Amino acid sequence: MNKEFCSNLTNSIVHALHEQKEGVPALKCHEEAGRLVVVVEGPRLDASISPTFKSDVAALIGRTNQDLVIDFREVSFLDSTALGTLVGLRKQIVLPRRLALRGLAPSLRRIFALTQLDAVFTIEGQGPTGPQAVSA
Amino acid sequence: MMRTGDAAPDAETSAALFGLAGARHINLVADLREIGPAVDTVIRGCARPGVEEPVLDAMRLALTEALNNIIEHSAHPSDVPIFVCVVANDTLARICIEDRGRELPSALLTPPAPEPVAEETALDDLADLDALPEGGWGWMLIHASVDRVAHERVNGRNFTLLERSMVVDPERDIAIAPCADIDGEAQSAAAGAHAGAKIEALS
Repeated sequence: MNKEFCSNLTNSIVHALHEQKEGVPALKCHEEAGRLVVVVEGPRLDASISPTFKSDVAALIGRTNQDLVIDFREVSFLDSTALGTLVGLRKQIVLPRRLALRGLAPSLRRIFALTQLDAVFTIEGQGPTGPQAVSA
Repeated sequence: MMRTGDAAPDAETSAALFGLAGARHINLVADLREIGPAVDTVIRGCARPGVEEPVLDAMRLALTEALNNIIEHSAHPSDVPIFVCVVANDTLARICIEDRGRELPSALLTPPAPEPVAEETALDDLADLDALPEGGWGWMLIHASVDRVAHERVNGRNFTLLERSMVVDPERDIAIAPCADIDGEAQSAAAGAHAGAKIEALS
């Protein structure tokens, strides 16, 4: 995926989300070391939002062969429905592709630990910060 | 979003059952989009100096999951009113959820044991991945986040109590999933991107 395609994809996803439902976080994507990084604009990813989030990220998964990173740095709350959505997305990423989660706040990492889903995902730290990370 | 006046909570029963006399009730309907604002209002009512964020985070999760379950399993149709009230002091918070939906399945009210998840290496196998559940953690998270869950069915209404100490319990409130370092190539590129951003900000 080249940068132009990624940029077009980002714009179309953000546009589509804003049209669909108020309160649904937009997704911003960029390339980083060959991986597609999807930054979820917070603050919540919950049962009311998860179906839209799942279909949007599934569309991204289908349009690229890259490894995927979902970045939660702007998300402060996640519920069990959102966890189920992430498991569903994880199932769509088949080797040799990888799905990593990063930027999880301590309160979110606690939920992964309690459910033992930390064994299912690669959980990374904060990753790079700054404007280039979310708008490239 | 939240309304008052179109239905009344049974404050007497919630006070008699769970000791929530004098609590202010907030009102929502069985719509998942109403949960977030309602939970924020309740948790703000619990916040006070000295109460640490992990306690409020745990209560926020428990209340959200309880409302998710009530809306998914009990409260149909969607205009069934749900009331939430809270009494909190420096040491304890009691939250009562009242709904006029169906009786909650008893299986939801006992703390389930978490099912062991296979090791990550095995999960690269598609068959193992397909077997992973995509839900069912709600009540486990509730029981892991509060000290006491109680439920009573009175006069066709469900009363669900979540009781929580205001003191952090490090074992359950600050359990942290391990965090992997990203691989060398990505880390190097990430460092470069970060440095680039810094340079841009300085110029």
